[in-house]
Amino acid sequence: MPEYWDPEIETMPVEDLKKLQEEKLKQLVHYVYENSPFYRKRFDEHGVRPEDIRTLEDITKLPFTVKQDLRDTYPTGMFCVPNSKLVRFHASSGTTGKPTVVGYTQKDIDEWAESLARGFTSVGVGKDDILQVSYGYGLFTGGLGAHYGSEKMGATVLPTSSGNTERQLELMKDLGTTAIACTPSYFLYMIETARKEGISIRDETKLKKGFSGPNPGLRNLRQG
Amino acid sequence: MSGPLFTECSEQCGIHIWADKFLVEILDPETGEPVPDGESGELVITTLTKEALPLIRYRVRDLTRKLSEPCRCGRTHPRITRISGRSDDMIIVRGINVFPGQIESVLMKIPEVGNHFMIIVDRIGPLDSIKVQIEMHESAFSDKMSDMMALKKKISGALKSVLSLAVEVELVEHGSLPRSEGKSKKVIDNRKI
Repeated sequence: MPEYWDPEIETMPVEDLKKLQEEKLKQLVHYVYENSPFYRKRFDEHGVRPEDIRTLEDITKLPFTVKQDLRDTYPTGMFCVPNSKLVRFHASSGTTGKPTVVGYTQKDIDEWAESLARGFTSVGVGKDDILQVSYGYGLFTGGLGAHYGSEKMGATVLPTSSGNTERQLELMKDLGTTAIACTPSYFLYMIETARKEGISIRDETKLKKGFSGPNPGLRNLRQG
Repeated sequence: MSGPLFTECSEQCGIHIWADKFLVEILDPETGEPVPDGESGELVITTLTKEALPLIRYRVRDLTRKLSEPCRCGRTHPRITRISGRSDDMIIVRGINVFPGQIESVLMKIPEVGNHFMIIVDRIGPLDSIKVQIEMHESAFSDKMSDMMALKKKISGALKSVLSLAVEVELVEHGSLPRSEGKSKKVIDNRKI
């Protein structure tokens, strides 16, 4: 049976959703034009004004943003709020160039946690679960993102972060982890480590649900 | 699979993007124009609720398609397919566009194939060559040379039909390719410009 975190929003009729998007888009273009010198300049160069955006279709009048813009304005040149309103930074690893920095207000963090609470609920993770967060904690968004989402939803978080795999497996067994959030490649690594240690994840742990982020396309995690 | 923008619900039939928070466009990566519904294109995201760093029409460089039928889970938020590759991960081999995601999806349909592979691109003389090292599934490794040859042939045939490109297949033992604890690197390009 499907369960929703927020049934009203998640099952809202498509037409209503579009209306909601249209309202938010109109507010957004005014907001960025007034608060970000970067976007104001970009809109001016492109010959578009916030008032020009009246419907969802009008979005095609707006200029694109690309990763290079974040690099060119490094670290915070695209932000719309002063530092006093920021509660957190995250930064990309910068493997393909200079790192990019993202800032969050309290509202941004709350919205993010809510998205993840919806996601956890959609795959059947709930308040009774013990969720091991094996994404890296730190500058990478995976660990703290899943952590806050899980706390919002009410599961019990086991914040192992990634690495130290033998200890992770021990805690998984001892505390009865029922769900895990990690990258598929880390989960495969865990399965192999477990095998070397002589542990059967299937038989000796209570793990039932996996939850992953990047690295799309890997097959069913449960085959191990 | 899930993240701040989306969830793959328990139906596992595409990814829902939370429409009250994000606006999705699927565009032709060359022209920037919308592709017809259901066709593959580049994912472009506008954040509708972010305060600190809103992004307007951000070009994610991931390739996907929109799914228009309603989802059985009852969620009305628009669905896209799992990401089939990145428009900037594309490698060009002998003039043909190759996405690592295409190779991955071919390999993952073959039961004898394990979970790890590596794409190696080289230039031998004037010609590009592409090789895929593939870890076998533990249960699939055979002592019989003829079995292995047949499997190699099957894999290279499947790759050729999708990529229109001859790919050298090298089968390696389970556990022999490098592992990573983060995102895995799947392509080694040894060509010098």
